[in-house]
Amino acid sequence: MLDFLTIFNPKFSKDEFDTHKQLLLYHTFQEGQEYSSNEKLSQIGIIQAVWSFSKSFENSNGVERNVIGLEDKKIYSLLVEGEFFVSLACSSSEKEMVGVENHYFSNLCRCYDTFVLHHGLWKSFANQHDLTDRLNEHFIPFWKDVDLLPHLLISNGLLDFWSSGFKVADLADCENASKWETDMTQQVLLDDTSFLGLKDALIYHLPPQTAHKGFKNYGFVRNFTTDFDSLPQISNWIHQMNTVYGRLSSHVIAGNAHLKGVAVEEGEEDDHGANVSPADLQTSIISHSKNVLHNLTLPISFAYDTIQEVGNMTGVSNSMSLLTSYIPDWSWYSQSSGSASGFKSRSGFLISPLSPAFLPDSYKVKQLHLSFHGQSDIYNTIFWYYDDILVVLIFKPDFAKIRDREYLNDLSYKLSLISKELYETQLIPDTSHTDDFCYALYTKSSSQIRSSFPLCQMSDSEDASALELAVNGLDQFLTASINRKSSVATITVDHTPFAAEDDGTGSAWGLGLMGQFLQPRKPNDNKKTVADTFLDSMPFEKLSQLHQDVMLFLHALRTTKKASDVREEKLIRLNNGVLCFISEDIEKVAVVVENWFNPKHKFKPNSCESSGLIDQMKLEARKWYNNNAS
Amino acid sequence: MDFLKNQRLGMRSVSLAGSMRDGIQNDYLDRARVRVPSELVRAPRAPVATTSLDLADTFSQPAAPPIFDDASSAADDVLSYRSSSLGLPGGMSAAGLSAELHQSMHSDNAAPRDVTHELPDVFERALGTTDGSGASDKQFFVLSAAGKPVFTMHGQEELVMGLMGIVHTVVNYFRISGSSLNSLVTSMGSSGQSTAQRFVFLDRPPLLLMAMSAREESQHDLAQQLDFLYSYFVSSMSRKQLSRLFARRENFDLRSFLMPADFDTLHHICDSIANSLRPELLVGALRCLPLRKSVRQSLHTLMLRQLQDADPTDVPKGCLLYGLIVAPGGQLCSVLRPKGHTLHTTDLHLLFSLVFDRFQNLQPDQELWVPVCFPKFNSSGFLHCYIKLLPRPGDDLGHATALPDIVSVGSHTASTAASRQPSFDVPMPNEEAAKRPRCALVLISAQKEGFFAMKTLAQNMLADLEARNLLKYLYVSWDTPFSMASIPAPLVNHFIYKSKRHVQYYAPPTTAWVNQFSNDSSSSTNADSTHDGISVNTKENYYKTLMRYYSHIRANAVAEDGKPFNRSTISFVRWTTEPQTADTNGFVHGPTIVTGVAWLTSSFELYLVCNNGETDRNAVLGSAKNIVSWCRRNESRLFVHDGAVF
Repeated sequence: MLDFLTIFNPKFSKDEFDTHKQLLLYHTFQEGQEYSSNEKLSQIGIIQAVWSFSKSFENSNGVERNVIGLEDKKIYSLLVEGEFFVSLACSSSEKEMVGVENHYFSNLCRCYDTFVLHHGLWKSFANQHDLTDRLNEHFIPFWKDVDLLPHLLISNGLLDFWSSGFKVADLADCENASKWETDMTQQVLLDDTSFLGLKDALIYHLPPQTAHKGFKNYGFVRNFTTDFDSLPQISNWIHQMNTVYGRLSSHVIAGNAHLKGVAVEEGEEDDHGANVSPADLQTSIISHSKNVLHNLTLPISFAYDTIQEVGNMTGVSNSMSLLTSYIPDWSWYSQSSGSASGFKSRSGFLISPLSPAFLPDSYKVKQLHLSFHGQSDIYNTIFWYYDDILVVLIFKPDFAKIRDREYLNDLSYKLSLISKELYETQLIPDTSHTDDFCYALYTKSSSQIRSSFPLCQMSDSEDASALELAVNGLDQFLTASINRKSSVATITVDHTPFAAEDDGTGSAWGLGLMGQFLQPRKPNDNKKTVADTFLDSMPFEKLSQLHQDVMLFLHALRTTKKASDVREEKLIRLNNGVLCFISEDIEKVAVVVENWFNPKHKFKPNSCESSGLIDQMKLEARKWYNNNAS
Repeated sequence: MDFLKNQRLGMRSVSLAGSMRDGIQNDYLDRARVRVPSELVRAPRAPVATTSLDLADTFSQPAAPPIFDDASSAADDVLSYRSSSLGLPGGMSAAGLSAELHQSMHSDNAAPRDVTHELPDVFERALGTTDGSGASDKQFFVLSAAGKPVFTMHGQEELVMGLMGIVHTVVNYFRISGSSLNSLVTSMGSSGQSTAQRFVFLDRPPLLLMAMSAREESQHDLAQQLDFLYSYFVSSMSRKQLSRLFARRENFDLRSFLMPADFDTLHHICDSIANSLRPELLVGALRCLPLRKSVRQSLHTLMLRQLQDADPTDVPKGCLLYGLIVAPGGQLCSVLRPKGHTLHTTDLHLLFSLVFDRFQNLQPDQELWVPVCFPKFNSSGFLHCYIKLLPRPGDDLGHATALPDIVSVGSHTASTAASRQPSFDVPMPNEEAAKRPRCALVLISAQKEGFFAMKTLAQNMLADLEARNLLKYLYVSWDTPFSMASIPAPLVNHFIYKSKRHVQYYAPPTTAWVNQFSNDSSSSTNADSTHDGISVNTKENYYKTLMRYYSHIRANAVAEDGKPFNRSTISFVRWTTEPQTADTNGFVHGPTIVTGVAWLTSSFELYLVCNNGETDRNAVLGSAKNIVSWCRRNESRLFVHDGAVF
């Protein structure tokens, strides 16, 4: 339960008369709780006092976080850019989850990173009010989502232990694995037209967690420059969106989607929407959209304008024809690329200058503050998908061709061929084999996390169905036009409505939503649930418990003050019969868990080559460890 | 010399056969047998200064290989034990045997394991200091609710006053807003890689206590330590008095009320928490003096009989609440208690700290009658303690005729025993005998006027103890503790076994290894340096290192809040370094491999640190099992069960 979030910079205040200047953001999540400015200032004052108090003691160099533990709540404070404090207070009255501070800090860091990605460093803001506005737009929706869906906080499970780490996809080794990479380099990156403009391309594989529970090959696949510093930040941003909204869509990336709880007072509104006649529909949509906007209390003026614009258009016609005329249709090649298994591959741009003109700029080009080789600059990025593959293309700001329709069509075609190649070589789902162990490997220098631990995501929709994905008015219009049963797009977090809605729409969705739609049309397709590891079939509660247990064991690494050249290995058997091995050295941290009760447990550690506690694990796990982590 | 050597070897084999035959149950009888000749043997070699201690140490450890479950691990154990016993007096034959054994056991293993008893320090040195004593990586503050300083572990009060002011302000701020500040944890590095500091606050009006640690201790550990400090305040003045003092004037200066001895004791408590091997608070248990079951039973019977047989006019009924016999270092020997009542561990720790730290200069011919508040028993009232040291046999005789072997052995081991707890090092050059630590008899009464009754009772008990020769057994047990070698786990450097049922723990003495350390280091360092300084320093480092290992091993099985991860946990931790590392001075060190185990079940807790170089987890587990079964087998010797109940 969140209490309040505050951001302040003590350096903004020169003397005791302008202390209010240091306060940049203060938001309370408690309904009806209002603090006077004096109270707010005293709260940040005490946070500072505690901070400087701890600074007076030994071993305080480089301290960047602290947790103030109170009887009924905890205050997590993070120091960023050397002078800004971000503090989040949460009540901890309910049974305190162990290692929960890792989750809070991870989310705080991610929230900050995403902000910097979009708006640049806080120090770079000349006007303090600008900064406050942006912080308002960014931090509050982020944490409101968390407040609404508390399990989002822990969804990353033990990976949150490394708050700067990002998930990398572990792809199957394959002989022609590098073919698609070569193609990518030669046809796209080194292509004459884009050579100077295309800075980098990031490839992600983001399978939905329902179709393929495994998490092993989820994440960042690769990029093509060596000195891209913002890679962890951008990867975590994409991962965060994907986790919160289930699937990436144009709206999500453009920043126009937010989760919204169906508040009690809206019941009336819903009834109204359900019984409404088609003639009233538009007004209902518009009024509802406004309502959503007000509820979100977001000063996103452009989104509001959009709705107005859509409203005007729908006054002419509520058919899709007008909209689709703006949207290029890619079906001519996506049909041809349909694979033998019966489902149709989908591809297209999520964010590109090809989106309809009436949409705000954020749908056309996403401007991100990225850093290459220590040089930070604003780059134009566009997003493209092919089934579960997401490609982020980073263009230099002065590259004008990015708005060239021909160029983009061409690019899209090339990318789809390459993606197909990638699918055929390295992303073949291996249904035959389920690992008996799970691993996570964090490389300290590159912040990369390779992991096969399934995420702690709620897969049943009971809790989620109470939530709506309110895509600021736009999707209400789109879906309502197609499927008139309801006035509100109820896109629940468990993804099925996406597929259901797709039945009638096909590519008419237009703006793009990642992924293949395969569930409803193939009742005979007896597709086994693919499981990468033995943990994939675990129910949510047990899985999150396991994540907690491992996190707890992992957490003890923080307290070791061992000399830097010492490698630490630990082995423990957890409550649920899972054997957990952790090793940390100067370069990396490895976590391996396996089922202790597994009857296949047959091993004979070779005493001559005794390499440590990993020898107690089964052969498979030992092999993995010796190949990858030791 | 040859003759002597042979004789030594002969005695060695006797001791070996003896312990093989009788098992460890006859442990100190064997020792007594060994010790007489060892003294004899040592005499001619006395001029060779460095060997005397080695020899005695070697002899004080029965070399008998214990009984093992697992043959191969047994062989490893024996080997590691042998290879590590520097100065093994076996000469060529022992070395040859060892080599042969090694050959036969490790014919398939090309590189022999290098296992040593030396415990390397794998931890990062404290900032700015080279000896790891990091002046303020640990700090305790005690202040009054009004913010007046009462006590600080480090630093001038004037200097820390500002910090105490902040503590006061912050704590009060949260108190006003309806909450209370419990802890503050800071971590460094942009991704919070490591915890930098932990602060724990304990608000017990009219006192406010704070602990800070940049070490491995968990919040729960710090909270325990604070509770102990607070308990000391209560024990010396009771909560009632404490509240009364502050009720009159909130800004009362408690420093003016406390006596210098109080500050000394507080400093002593902090120091022993921070710098010595005192696992009492870490595991929350009491330490007992291992005694033979029959001896302990005799002590109990004797105390009970003396109480029951006492003349009601001298010792009125109900006058005595508790009676304790305690060995130095706070090791409980026996307890006399009313039915259905026990004393809390914290209360006993406080009492022992009072007897052995605060009144450490107490002489055998003196007796004390002090009011003590037992915070967990009754925090608002005082009980009265009659404290008398138990004379060592031979004390009053002035010569060694009565028990020559015991005395001579005593005089030797007493000094090492004293050095086991640095706190007991109270040099009294004039009286060599008075330096030896003594056991104490403590009789606790609720009656303020009960002194003479207690005195009578104590005299009777003492007379009876002497008459039955129990004092001798008591001191023999104290002087010749179980050594690590008598426990069937030579792979293990040190361990702590806590029996949850008894709320008592057992940890083997570290004397032998520590002395070996000091010898090694003093022989390898400059002749200019004082031996004492170095050995104490090394010892302290050894204790600190050991405690760090234990805190960390414990952190891998017990969460921050003091709850174990699982109901039943076994957790292994291993630290390794690269095969060859050079330190800042250019010395090349061999590889370090230290394994630790935390084993928690519903009935016991075991923490152990293995010798450097031990790599076989199964052998370690075997050793752990051996220790557990050994401790269980010897439960009646290691722990006080019920005591004498009346």
